[in-house]
Amino acid sequence: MSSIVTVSREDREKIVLNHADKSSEISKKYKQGCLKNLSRSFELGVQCQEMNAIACLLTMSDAAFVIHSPLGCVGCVGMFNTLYHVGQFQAGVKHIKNAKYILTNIDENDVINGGEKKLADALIETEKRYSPNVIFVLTSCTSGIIGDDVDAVVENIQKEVKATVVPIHCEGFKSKLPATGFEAAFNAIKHYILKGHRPIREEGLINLFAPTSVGIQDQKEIKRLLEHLGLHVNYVPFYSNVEKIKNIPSAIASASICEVFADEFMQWLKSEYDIPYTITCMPLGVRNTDQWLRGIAKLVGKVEQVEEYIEQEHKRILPKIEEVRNILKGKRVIVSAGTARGFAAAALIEDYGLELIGLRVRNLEEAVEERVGELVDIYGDDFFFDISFGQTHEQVNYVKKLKPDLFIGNNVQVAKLGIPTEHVLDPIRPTMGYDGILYIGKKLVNAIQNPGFIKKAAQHAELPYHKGWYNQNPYKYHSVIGGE
Amino acid sequence: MAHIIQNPRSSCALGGAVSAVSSIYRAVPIYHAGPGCVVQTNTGVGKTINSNYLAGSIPSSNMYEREIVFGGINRLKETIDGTLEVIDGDEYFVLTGCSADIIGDDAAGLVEEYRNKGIPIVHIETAGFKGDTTKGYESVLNIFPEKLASEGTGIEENTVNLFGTVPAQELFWSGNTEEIIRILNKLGIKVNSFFSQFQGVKEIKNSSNAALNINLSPWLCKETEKSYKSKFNIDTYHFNGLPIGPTATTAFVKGVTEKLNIDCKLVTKVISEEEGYVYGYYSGIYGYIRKYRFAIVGDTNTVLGITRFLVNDYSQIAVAAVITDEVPDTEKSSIDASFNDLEYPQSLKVFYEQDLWKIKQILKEQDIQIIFGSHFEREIADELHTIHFNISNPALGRIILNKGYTGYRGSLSLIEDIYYAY
Repeated sequence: MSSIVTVSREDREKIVLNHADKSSEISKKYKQGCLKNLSRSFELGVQCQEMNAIACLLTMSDAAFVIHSPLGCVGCVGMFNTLYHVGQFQAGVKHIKNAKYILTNIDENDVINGGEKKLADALIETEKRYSPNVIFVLTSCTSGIIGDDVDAVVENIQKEVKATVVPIHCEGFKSKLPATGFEAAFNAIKHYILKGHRPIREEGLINLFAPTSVGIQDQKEIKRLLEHLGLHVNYVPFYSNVEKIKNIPSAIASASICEVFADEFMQWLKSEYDIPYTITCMPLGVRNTDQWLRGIAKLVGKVEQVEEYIEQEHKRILPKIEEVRNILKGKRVIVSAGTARGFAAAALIEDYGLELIGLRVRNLEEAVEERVGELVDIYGDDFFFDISFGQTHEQVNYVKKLKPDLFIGNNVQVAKLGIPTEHVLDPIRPTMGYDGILYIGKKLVNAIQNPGFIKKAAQHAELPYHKGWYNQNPYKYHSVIGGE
Repeated sequence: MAHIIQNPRSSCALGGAVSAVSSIYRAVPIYHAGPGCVVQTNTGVGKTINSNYLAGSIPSSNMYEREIVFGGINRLKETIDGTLEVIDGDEYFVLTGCSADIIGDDAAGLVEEYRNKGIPIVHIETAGFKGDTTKGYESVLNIFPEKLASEGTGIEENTVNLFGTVPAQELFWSGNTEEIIRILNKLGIKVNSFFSQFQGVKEIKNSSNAALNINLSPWLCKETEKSYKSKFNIDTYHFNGLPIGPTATTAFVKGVTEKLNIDCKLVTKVISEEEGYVYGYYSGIYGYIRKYRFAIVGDTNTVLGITRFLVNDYSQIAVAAVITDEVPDTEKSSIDASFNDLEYPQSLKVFYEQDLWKIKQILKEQDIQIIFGSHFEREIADELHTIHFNISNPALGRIILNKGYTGYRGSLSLIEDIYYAY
């Protein structure tokens, strides 16, 4: 049996993983298609696609997971399990469950002799313990290098177990862009769960695709917004189940919570089931929420209703935003986040009258091409634009030079500089929609109004870098892939 | 052979090694490993908070397909060079992950070249498939006498090396260690604990001059003990598990001070002061103690320490103890024996199990009213209508800084927390 090969996202057109420059240069060159993709001769650890594949599916209530790897490759699952607990709590679940993940625990013996038998045993054991509707099997660097034939094991075991067994090929070394793990998960759903399943269309049902980083609070807000358009939401795959997955083809439309999640899958739903979809942005900030809602309304023929609703919501929240703006106005800010969230968060700048002096996003790709130009139009052509991930030392270097009043992002070392930090990647507290923007506003105000902790702590903080590092170009280890 | 494990409570050898290295002041880990290994081994289970120097931002060769196919040694060289230029450290630890060790990159050879130039850098083989967190911790400890300790300038009479508690894996390792240091300091003993209170390379270098090792684990660090003995003639005093509460702590104090020939008048004075302090507080709760039949699930040291305290000092009834470390069969008897000092007739059964489902089956069969365990046990406690109290990894959604349950004072904190859990 041939394995499903997921095309790594980094092999797509117009992908840029690493670059940094003035916003005008980035925008101009990216538009012309001549923004060079850079690599590093020295970098910090990043993230692998296996994490995204697991994060994508872990909260499915009737699923179990078999992870074919050594012990450490489920470190992230411990973290996602925490979020799963919080999510269940916020959703009002009384008896909170652990995610069910079984590790084959590849050891030295398996590395030498192969781990296929152990994988088979783990699958049988999982079925015996939980009779789940679906068992997702995730691969790892080690299972890939030692060459275990995971598809063959799955095919054989499928004859013995009732659960649908779904292999997901997500070896970490195969992609530089962890979001490829999302694609691997959706490909597996396509081929193993949907496989030609054709339910009847359900009026008013819309698929909404969201990853784990979008918490229950945001899920509630999104539902609220869409209900005003007379839509009910099939929220997948986060906090869903096999039935909801199988129900995907009965929707009248699809939308994603951001530009880079489930985009390929929605295209496939269009071609396979003729389900139209919209890709706009992440509904974070007023402008983005408006735009996101309009995109969906257009798709389902509710253009008039949406304008009415937007107007009504603006009336409710704009005065409150004004209050926050009065406090935050003119503060110089750096925003640092993932691709979609980074661009979306930059829009907060407009809502709150902040001054954008730097933006760091994970990568550029075709889906966000318009956004690049749009940002330069709105926030000017000389803010600092960094395309990278996890390179803390580079970020500390330029943040120290730019001296922002506020840093929106997650970076402990930046906080050590004494700069108030707050973040918008928050799976526990609200971030999205009209209510989300108000919540974020409060968070930013709190960060600015009393920065005492970080100011005092910074006097004692030790950054791990040589003093000389701050005088150097943060990108001294960049080089053009394949030479100039 | 390593068995399949549902919801493991430990990271891999690489994860254990990085927890230890990151807890050494100004030590810098460098990964020669897959792209996800840094995040996987620095988040989730066994990592309640990143309070260390690099805060989880760790240099890595991030081995992609190219390195797997063509070898990654040049990539490692670039990574080491960059690290030395950018990151300021007292000692650099190159840790190799599964990918590097399977394809057979000669990281040891490369690192030796740097070391020969006088650069403070060592390599430790820590492939994830070699075992769990404890395995990684042991391999870091082994390097101390083997490569990092100084030649030894002579015995410092009242200095001890303290090890056997696994950073990050033991939930309250930092606070636990601090209380032990506080008590030993009071007895005039200087402690090399290596992993907390800004201890680091200086203490590791100086460890060859210690008069005694104290190992708090009944089964870990045996190689380390052997090396200290053969290279520096340092004996090891064993206290099996964390000393928690007056009974255990006094036994610990007597054991250590006998080995070091500390003036017995001082010892008696310290014990009397400390016991007086805790029993002073105990006097306030004489009427409040609720007695329960308990099961306890977690790492060896925590399970031993808390069980002893609950039974010997706090009148609880021990029913079942589940040790979740990857303990080799040959070591189990020494752990079993460590429970022998429980007072009053107890019907304690000891289990060795890492798998969440099997642990649930064990707990279901017990007649218990409270479960001391990880956050995972909250679910079964809920099913069995018992009380749940979190003492072991994983601890979801908690920040743990200097909380500790060891010694005399830690037992007060434990009593406060247990009362609140009820």
